[in-house]
Parts: sequence; structure tokens; C-alpha cells
Amino acid sequence: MNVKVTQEIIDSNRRTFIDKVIKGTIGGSLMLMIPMSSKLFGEVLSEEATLKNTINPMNLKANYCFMVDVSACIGCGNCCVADRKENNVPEGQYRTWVERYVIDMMNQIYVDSPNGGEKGYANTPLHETIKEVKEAFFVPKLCNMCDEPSCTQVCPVAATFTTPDGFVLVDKEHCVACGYCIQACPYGVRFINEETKTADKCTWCYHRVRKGKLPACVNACPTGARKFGDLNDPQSEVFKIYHSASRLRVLKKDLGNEPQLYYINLHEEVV
Amino acid sequence: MDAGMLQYVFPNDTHAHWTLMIVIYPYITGVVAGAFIVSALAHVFKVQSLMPVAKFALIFALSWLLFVTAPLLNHLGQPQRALNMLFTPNYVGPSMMAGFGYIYMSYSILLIFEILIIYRYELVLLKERSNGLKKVIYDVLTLWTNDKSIEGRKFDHKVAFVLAAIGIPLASSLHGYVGFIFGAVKTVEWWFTPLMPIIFLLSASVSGIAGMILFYILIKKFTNKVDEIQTDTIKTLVKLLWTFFIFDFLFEMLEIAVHAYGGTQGWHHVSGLLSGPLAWSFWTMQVTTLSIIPFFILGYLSLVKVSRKVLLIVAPIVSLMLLIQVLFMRWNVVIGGQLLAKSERGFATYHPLMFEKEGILVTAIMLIAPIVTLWLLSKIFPLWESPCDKELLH
Amino acid sequence: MRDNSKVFAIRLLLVLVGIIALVVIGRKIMLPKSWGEYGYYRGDYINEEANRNMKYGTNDTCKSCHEEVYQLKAHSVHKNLSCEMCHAPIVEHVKEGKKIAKMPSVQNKEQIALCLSCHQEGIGRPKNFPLIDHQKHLRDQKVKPTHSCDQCHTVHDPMENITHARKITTLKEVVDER
Repeated sequence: MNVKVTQEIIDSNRRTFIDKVIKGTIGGSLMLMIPMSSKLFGEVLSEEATLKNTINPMNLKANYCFMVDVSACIGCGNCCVADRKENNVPEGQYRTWVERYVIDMMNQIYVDSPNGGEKGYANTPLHETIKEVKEAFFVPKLCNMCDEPSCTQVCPVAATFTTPDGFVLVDKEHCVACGYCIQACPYGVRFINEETKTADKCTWCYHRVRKGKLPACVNACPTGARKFGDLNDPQSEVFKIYHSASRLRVLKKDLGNEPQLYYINLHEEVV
Repeated sequence: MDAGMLQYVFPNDTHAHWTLMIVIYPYITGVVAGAFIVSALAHVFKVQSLMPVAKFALIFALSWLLFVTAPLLNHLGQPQRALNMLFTPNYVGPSMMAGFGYIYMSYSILLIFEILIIYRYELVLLKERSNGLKKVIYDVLTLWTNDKSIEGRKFDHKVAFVLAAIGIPLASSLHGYVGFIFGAVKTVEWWFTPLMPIIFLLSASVSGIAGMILFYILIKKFTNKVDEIQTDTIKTLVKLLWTFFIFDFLFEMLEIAVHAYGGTQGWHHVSGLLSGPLAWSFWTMQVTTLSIIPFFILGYLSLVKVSRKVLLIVAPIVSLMLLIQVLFMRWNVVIGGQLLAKSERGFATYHPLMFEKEGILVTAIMLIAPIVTLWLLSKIFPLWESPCDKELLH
Repeated sequence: MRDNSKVFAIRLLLVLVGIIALVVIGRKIMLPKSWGEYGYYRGDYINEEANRNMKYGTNDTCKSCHEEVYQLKAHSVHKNLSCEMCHAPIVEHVKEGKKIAKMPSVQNKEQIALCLSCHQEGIGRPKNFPLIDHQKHLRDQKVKPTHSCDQCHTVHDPMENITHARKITTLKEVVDER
């Protein structure tokens, strides 16, 4: 049997062949992540290529939630890049960011987030006093979209509010930019946008969700560390995780804000 | 453990968002509330020794009241939308700040009405003696009335009494409310205490009374009328100041004591703040230099018989110290709370600049403006007791 | 009007009524039209925000023109990657169904940096993710240190050539054994 013939055999079965290779070799890790197709949000629209998207009516039956799998985050910063472009966030301000936690053998915790993790951590040196690393991981942060938000409570002019489908938004045509919501938010996700001079924060890409798309950061995440979906939809990935044995945690639970942002495999050191 | 090593703040949280403007906003409001309390003591509780400054207290309060919103408007990112606070107040939350708009407006109306009623007869008399622009101003202020009857003046008296009586809870809630704006923020450990409205109210009274003593003596000195200063009035004001200050300082320390004794995670963060970024402005200035020393001086002035000469020199100095103490207290609360990073691992920073929009110069202008306004108002409203005030009593 | 003792107080009361009226009328005029449509806020904002244009599409957006690459990538280890992550947001490429600019496709040093942004070994990166020490990897594979990643790993299906080669060599060995 000569090489040429072998090549033909491979080519004829190429698809199944590659499939087998993929499943056999690295199926254990990467392939576990269920691909987030637009099935979640109904049919793919044909006019998608033109970006002429129709808005879907508010899905009042949905219970949207965001999940971050800390063990899957590689700290590449793609989510932050995508978020800044998608939402015109001014430089130096952050709708989302990625923190790096490093715990040394003395159980000393070092946290950093240069440029909000936007440039990735591949070339970010560790703090010079760290001698030996015991544990290290990345923690993406974004709006917790609380069920009991402190920010909407304190807003004097009701410019920030929870929509009927459960998103906390800021009406930038009504906001007076007093900054009270920034004080009230336990998670530091709010800021006064330098360009609009109004309060601003992550919306979980409400404008994309209403068009049946995933938030920009979820779309950009290469490892599926960021997940978004409807907890009332048994087919959704978040539903499956929520009802599985995974360790789920929310940030600053004691404050009673009831965040809808859940962390999977989160260490208790994370604030 | 080196605290600096653990320093990490969230990227949006690296600096204080509420600037010097929000430091002087409760300060100005406090002076208003404190001065009003003095006038109420005279008008409602008939404290005779305070009568000589009863009218001055009202005009003093008004001159500061006019500048309560100035720092707020300067701070807002969208000041042209400020009236949204009145048009769409968030009562659903409910937002404490939204309520402030209405309370401030009600209190402003009440104070101005109180002044117009109390001064009505005097303004009518002044109108007769003036002409030109001044006459027009008096015409407007008396709402084009000329009544000089004794029944009219007795009726004024009753209305003024009622307004002052309503004014006491209103002035208290005005400033207690400002305290609530901070005290209700659960995310900031340094603010989140039910004592906050009480501390704000007491420190407001302190700053208002101290301001009255200082400016009463200063104005009399600058107008070469030192002889007119009533020793009794100063004595009463000093005793009042001492009393309010004791409670103010007590609650300020009580808050820290309970916090420290509890020793929660939050306290560890706060204690780092007090031994770090706030060490000088809190312990050295607010507590030691500007609280403990004035406490003893005031005690001495209140309990020991001092000569009029000493009183007139020491009382304004100690009042100035307490005015600055309250300013430091506002700084330590407003800025201190924001320096506590929400990451719970370190502190944000705030270094005001001289010439920025919300910087030191603008702050100084806003604190001097009420004094200039007081001088302008004194051209229209005689600050001191006039002979006609006493006629009615006999 | 005859001057009597209560005229002033009555006029003052009228001023108060005037102020209250001003606030009430001001509110009527200034209240946004859609206020209260869904709750105590400006209802129109929800639609304004929902209507905001997206900058990024999804991979399905790219598929409509680039079916071939889409299929290749969709069956590779890179199947979960967003096309726009390595290229650019779709709005910089397509407008109203027409191509307006070429999508950037990074080469050489930029490409190495892009690949390493995910695949460079680093503290905190999960163990089950394919990570390399770049220089060591080039040495181990016995290729020039100047090699760019796509000389071995086609970016849309990084293991394509590798598996291919492995298969061929395996088969060759089988042939040789015979």
C-alpha cells in the first residue's frame, strides 16, 4: 500500500476520522463544554449577516442568570476586549474585568488586575514577594444583576431600575450622575462614564439578549468560563449546572442583594 | 503582615467619587440646622438670654441655606436634570436622597416664611423710610402690605411661633436625613450605623451654634459695637455648645467603641483606615486637637466665672476650633467611607487639587459665599434686636 | 383693598400655593411620556437600550458568507472560539449586508502573541487546558525559533496537520513493518 492510497483513505473518511481523534484525545476537558449555540434563543435569523436584527419581545417567563466557571477561566482578557468594543466603554473604566488571585505557601493572598485584566495575564509578572505559589486562579467580575439591588434603591430619580425581564439598567437620559448608586453597589461595578457623564455599568448586553444573542463577553470567551442562560429553561446549560452537584456561590451573600451572577468552583477568599 | 502587600481595589473603585463638594454639603446644611435651633430656642421656648440673637440666627441660617445646593449642583454630572429629584423622586426604592429634595424645599420655604413673618413689621417701617430699589425690595418682601396694627403684630407672633415649632422637627429631619443618606449605605462599613443621623444632627447643632458665637462677636467687633455684645447671650450659647458637643463627641466615640469591641471583619478594614489614611485627620485633628481641647475650654467657660474680656477672646477661638472640628468630621466620614475599598483589601485614594472643578479653591469660595451673603442680607434685614421687638412684650 | 392684619399671612399662603402648583405643573410637563409604562421609571428606555446596535455578531453571522471556514472550525478543537475574537467585530467588516472593509488576519509575531494569549503557560491557568512554553515548544518540536504558529497549526483547525501527519507516520510505520 503506497502513501498516496493511504492519503485517499484518510481523505474519504476525514470527517469521522477527525471526530474520533477529537473525542479520543481531548474530549475530557474542552469538549465537556456544551457549545452555546443560538438555539437557546430560538432560530438563527437569516438577516443576521446584515446585523439588521429584530428585537424579540421581553421574555417575562425567563429567569436569566449568569454563571462564571472560575476553574475554566484562563485569564486571556478577551471578554474585556469584546465588552469594551461592544459597549463603547471609555479607557480606564470597566463594565467587566478579570482578577488574578494568587495564594502562596504562607496562605497570603495576592490579588491584582492590571488594566482590568484586559491585556491578559500571560506576561504579567507575579508580585515579587511571592516565593512559591500554592494556588492561583482568575475571577471574572461583572454586574451581579441583583434581585434586591442596592443601586436602584438609592437612585433619587429612578433612573436605574429593574426591567420586567429582570435586568438592571441605567437610563442615561434621566440620570443626574449624583454617584449614590456607585456608593451603594457592593461589587464596584458602577462608574460615572467619562463620555456620557452618567452612571454606567454592565447590562449583561441587554441589547444583544433581546435580539436572541449571547452577551458579548460570553460570545468572546474561548473556554466557556462565562455562561448565560435562562434558569427556567430545562434545556439550558445554566439550568443543568444549577440543578447539578456543582458548587455554586454568589459574592457577598451576607449583604442580602441576591445576585443572579453565580460562580462555579469559587474559592471563599474571593470578595 | 504587610498591609501594603494585600492592597487591591476594584478598577472602578480606585478613587473617591464623592469629592470635597459632598464634604461641604452636609457641613453647610449642618450650620443651617444648628442656627435654626438657636432661633427656635428663643422663639418657641422663650429663652430670654437668646433673644438678642434670635433674628440674627434666622438670617445666619438663611445665608447658609442659599448655598446648600451649590456644591451638589457642582458635583452632579448632569446638573441641568437636578429638578428630576422633585419631578420623579424615587419613592419606590425608596431613595433617601429623593426625600432630601422635598425636605430641603419644605424647610427652605418654612425658613423664608418665618423670616418674612418675624421681620414683617420692621420691614414695613423700613419701607416707609427708604426709596428706590430698596423700597421695591421691601415692597416685594412685605408682599405689598403696609399693616402696622397691633393685632397684625400679635397675629404675626402666633404664626411665627407655629412655624418655628414646625421648623424644629423639620430642621432636625433635614439634617438627620443627610446623616441617613450615609448611614443607610450597607456597603460602607464606616457609614452603616443607626448612630449616623444622630451624630450628624448633633454635629450640625455644634457647627451652627459655634458659627453663631463666632460671627456674633466678629460682626460686633468689626462694626465697633463690642459694647452691644450681651455677655449673658454668649454664656448661654457657650453652655448650649458645650452640651451639644458633649453628646456629639460621645456618640462619635461610641460608634467607634462599639465597632471596635465587636471586632468584625468590617472593623478590621475600618481600623486599618483609622490607623492608615485617616490617622492624622481623625485621631490627631478631629479627636485630639479639635475635640478634647475644646471640650476642656468650653467646660471652663461654662462652669467657671470668667471675665467678659476673656470670654470675648476665648469663646470665638473655641467656636472656630469646633467649626473646623465639624469640617474634619465631615471629611473623615464622607471621604473616609469612600477610601474603604469594596474589595476589602486596601484603600482607595483621594487628593483634591487646588484648581479642579470640585477642588479646594471652589470649596473655599463656597464656604466664603454664605458669609458674603450674610453681609448682603444684613443690608435688607437688620440683624439685631430692634426697639420695636420689645414694644409688644409690654 | 382695605389693609388688615391678616392680609400678609393670606398672601404668604397664596405664595405657598403658587409654589406647590409650580411643582405639580412642572412635574406634569417634565414627566417623560412613557413614565410608569412598566414601573416607576421611563419605560421607553428599555426599547432604546434593546434597539442599540450590536458590534459583535455570532459565528452564525460569519457562516452566511464563510461556510467553508465555518465548517472547518466547527469540527475542530477551536469550535468554541468566536471568529470575531481573533479577527474583529463584524461591524468593522460588514454594513447593511455589504463588505466595507477587510477583516484583519494577524500574521507572524502578532499571530504568535494572539495564540499565546490563551496558550502560553502561566500561573493560574487551568491544568486541563493545552498550554505551552513557547520557546521550549519550538525546541522540542525541532523547528526554527522564528516559526509562526500557523506553520504547523492551521489556525481554524489547529490539529488538522498534526493528526494528519501522525496518521501518515503511523501508517508508514505499519508499511515499513510489513
